[in-house]
Amino acid sequence: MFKFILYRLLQTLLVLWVIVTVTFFLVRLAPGDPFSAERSMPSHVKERLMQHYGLDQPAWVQYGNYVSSLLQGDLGPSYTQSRNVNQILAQTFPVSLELGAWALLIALCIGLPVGVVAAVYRNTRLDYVPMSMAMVGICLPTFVLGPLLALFFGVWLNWFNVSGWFGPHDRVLPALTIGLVYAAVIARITRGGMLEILTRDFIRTARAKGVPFHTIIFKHTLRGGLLPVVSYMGPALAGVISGSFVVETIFQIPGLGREFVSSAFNRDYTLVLGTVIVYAALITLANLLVDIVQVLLNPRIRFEDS
Amino acid sequence: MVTDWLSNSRKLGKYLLVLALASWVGCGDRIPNADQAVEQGILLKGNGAEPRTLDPQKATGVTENKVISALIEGLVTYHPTDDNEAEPGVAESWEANEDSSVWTFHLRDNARWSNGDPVTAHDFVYSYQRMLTPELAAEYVNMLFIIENAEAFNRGTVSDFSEVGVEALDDHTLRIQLVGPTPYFLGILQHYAWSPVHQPTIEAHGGMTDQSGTWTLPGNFVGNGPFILSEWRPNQLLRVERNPYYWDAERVALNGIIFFPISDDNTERRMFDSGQLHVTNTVRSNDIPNLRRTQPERLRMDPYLATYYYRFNTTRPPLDDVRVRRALALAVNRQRLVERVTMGDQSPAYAYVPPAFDGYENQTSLRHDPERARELLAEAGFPGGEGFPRLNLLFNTLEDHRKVAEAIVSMWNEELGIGMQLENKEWMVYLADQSQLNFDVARAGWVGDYLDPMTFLDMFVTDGGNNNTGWSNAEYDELIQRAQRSRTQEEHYQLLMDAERILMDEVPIAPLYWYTRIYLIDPRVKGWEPKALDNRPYKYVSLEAE
Amino acid sequence: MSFPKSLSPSSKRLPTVEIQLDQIEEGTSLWQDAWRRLSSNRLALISFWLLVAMVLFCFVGPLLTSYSYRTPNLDNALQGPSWAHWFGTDDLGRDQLTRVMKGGQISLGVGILATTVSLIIGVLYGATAAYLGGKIDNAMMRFVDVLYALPFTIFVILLMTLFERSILLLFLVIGAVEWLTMARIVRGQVISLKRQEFIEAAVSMGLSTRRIIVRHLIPNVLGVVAVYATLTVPAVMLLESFLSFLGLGVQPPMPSWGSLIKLGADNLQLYPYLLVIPALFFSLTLFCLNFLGDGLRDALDPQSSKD
Repeated sequence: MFKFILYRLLQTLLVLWVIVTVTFFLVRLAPGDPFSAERSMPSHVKERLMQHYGLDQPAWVQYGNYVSSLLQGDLGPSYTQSRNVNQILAQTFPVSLELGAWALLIALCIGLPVGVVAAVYRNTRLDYVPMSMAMVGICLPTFVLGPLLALFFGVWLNWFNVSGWFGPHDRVLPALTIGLVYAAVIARITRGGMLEILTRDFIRTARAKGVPFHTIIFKHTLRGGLLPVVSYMGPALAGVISGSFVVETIFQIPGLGREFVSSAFNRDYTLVLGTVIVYAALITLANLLVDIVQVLLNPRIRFEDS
Repeated sequence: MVTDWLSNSRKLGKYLLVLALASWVGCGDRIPNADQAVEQGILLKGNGAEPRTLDPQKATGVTENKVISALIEGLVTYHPTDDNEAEPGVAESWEANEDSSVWTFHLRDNARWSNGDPVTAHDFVYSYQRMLTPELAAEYVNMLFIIENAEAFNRGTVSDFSEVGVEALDDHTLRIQLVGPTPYFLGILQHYAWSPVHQPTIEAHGGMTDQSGTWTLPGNFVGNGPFILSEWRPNQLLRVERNPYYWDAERVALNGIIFFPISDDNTERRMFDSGQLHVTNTVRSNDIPNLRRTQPERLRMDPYLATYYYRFNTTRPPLDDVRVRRALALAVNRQRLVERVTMGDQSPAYAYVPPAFDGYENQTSLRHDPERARELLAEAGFPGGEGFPRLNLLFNTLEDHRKVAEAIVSMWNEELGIGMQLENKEWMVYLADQSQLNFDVARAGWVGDYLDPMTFLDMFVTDGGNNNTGWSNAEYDELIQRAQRSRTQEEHYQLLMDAERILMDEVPIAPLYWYTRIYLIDPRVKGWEPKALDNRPYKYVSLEAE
Repeated sequence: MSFPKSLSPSSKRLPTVEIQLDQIEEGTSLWQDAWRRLSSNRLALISFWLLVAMVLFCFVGPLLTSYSYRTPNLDNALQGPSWAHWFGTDDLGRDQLTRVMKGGQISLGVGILATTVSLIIGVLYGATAAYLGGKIDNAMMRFVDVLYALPFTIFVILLMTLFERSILLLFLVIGAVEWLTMARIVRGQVISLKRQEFIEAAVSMGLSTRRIIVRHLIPNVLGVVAVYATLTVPAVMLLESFLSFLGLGVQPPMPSWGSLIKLGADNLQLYPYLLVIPALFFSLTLFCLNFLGDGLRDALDPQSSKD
């Protein structure tokens, strides 16, 4: 197993390198540059600016410079902010991580039990009611749910501030916004995965043999039943903790999600790369974690398979 | 296995709890709500986007200026009520020679930096040298090109700064030699590009041409304005508090201001409604009719020195035909547009320069005349819109632009029988398309940089960096050039009026309306007067409990 | 791929496997079976007909109203639901009913077509990777990781400047994004299946890899796929409105449910009907797809045939 993990971590480096390289050239191909503005500046000033940041050099020279400073841990200056990219990531990532952790907690605490119960009591009220609510959750995108929660609990009930990221209470609404949407998705996938197993012959056999109900669920069904949820959680995990642009904008949260999107709009090349590196590392590590958990959940799979 | 996992997730939960608690300790201080803030004398202001920098010589936007003007004061500053007057800032008096080409400023001797250092004429010389130093690559550097030899120095053809027309005659006397007569110089001088910066601070943080902006961070920043920077949390808030060293500190009524960068208009509205803000940055147009009925005392719609217009690409047929452009411009019912679409008391614009200048009369031949528009289109070979190619209307993706574009395309369709395809694009692509003339008709807006019609009209000279229409007219170019050198205000205005008439006869652009600044304000905020550029000296603003 | 030598095709030691193989090999009867079971599921049947009604509503409806979805009527803006305008009017005074119908054309089209594209790519890719295993699987999944992490916004902006705006491009872009998670889920399922006896048996029978993947592995993951597909549809419909924001995809005045819901969310407080009505149609469609998906899942599940 350790050999497997080591091997995969080495691959992660390769994946990161590919992503950095492709992104590096991709952002430079997009129309505009970090200094484009509605009011255009004198051309000689723009040349100076490009020169200062080395953007006047051939792309491959810029790439070489970027990679060599990257290897020293320097992600470069941001072209549009007074902080450099290292500082921006260091300040914004913990915020998104915390928000994402709360949201995941909500999503799993609601989504998993609801999905399991719905599958076990399939086609009864315990299935229809929570699953219909989950469908509502899926139909409510965050840009609808967030303002709804802010309006209801913030403006009308005045229980929480409508935006900001200062005190503990400021975590509630944004975490709920993300958490509920993911809870709905997880509930649906859990139910589907559980049903897949519950209809298998060996469960029927176990039931017929009189194996206690909770043993069937916890010992026999959950392992296989959670498999699709685990697969889904890889990308979801990376997505949630790298921040949500929509939710961070609605609730004025200084997280990574906003930098991720706005850096692309601003053509802030170095910041785009910085955020992409964080996200890429998260996604490859999350998927590695998922692959490990999959093996642990299912004795039939071996690490050589993953 | 699964139970293991469940217990692990419980551990994870505990860990998260600890993590969360730890992070709250870090930012446990409370932000006052609107009521508490009134008692504390702290103004809570929505400020649009996050400021990119607080360095006045690197800043390029309205958002940045809202903060910078609280922290730094120039020679002259914004008048609290009258747009055509300059308020004394660091300079307590000034005089110009008879043709307004040499200006002498007498600096007050009690002006201080926020660390106690005196503000001297040498500080201004240093600041202008920094602004003009090529390596700083200041985007607004051409604001200073009216100084003698400034452009040459910035382009590198003059290397000795003493040849540039700025000189400290003594600690408190500054002389500025301009390239020619400039009667409207005081209007330009209010722009933040002319702000002083504190030399020792700049030198301590990377020197004159450092691009990192470290000197502007809280703890480092030294300014000379009524407030000092005390806290800057990117994407959260920016806090300034009273500067005890400010020369006019007694007049400053507020103890501090908190600027909230709020990019979502609905979030800002909810913050205002729930008592987290005193002044908003904007109001969504769809909310205006309701606000007029329910909270007229909070809704403000002040005239703003800005024009909303459409550019025509004069290099592409059929828009290279002035009759076609004119037909399009005449067919728009601007009155309906401002009443029914933008709804914020904007004025229909039949000319380009907003009506904000005493003695300047808009010169225009545009009006709402669909009859004439149809005739012109027929003369151009498209009777009833027949044979008119399907053009694209380019705009950057934004609800309000979308609404205006849909309304206007339907007016053109109704009056002229022509169809047009709407084409929304992401901001940078939109900018690139405009500067490369890769469009037929494009939405545009222009906010004046300073209080003179020149800030609008000089952009349409041949090959101007912001022309973006392909239009060129030698007579227009000459009028603008002469207006830049006119000796009196009257002559200056007359030349600009003549230029505007040409612009409106040739219609490379179709002005649509003059903006208003629309915002919500708590009635307890006093001294917040309408200003053409929305710039006001914060020292006259106060908060009074009712 | 190796399998125990002892498991010869003639082995009679695993009777249950034989039954499964029979069922799967006789494809036609499987599908007929599935249809029979689907039509006996009342909820799924109602959902099916509701979806048909929705399609008619969106595609035939606009022909029946006297209003245009595109021409503004400025004097009539932001009116609540009334007899003349059942769903009210939008901020340019256009009949919201007509716009909801017209928007449904885009959203249903994008939702179903793009989901199908992502489904086909994702299922084939995930199943192939998992089944082939080893280095190939590893390389294929690392490629997915790379695609996940590339900055999507920049990618779309580039595509937009390289190609002419077209609805086809929209489908491709959405399909290209949405198949990734599908591929990972399918791979996870297939890996757990491929060590099961019936697949090893199929291998030992000398069936081709392609046949094993298409006929034996994929049918067994369709349940999970159906569930995830119904989750992809709303994601795709909303992604469409983001792409339109970037300038790819549909342009105003053409509406879509995504853009109508976005407009509604922005005007939530004063004009709730602008949100509620398109959101209702959006949700109703998704509910129907969901129940239909569940019905299909049950119908296609080879195991539940013994109910």
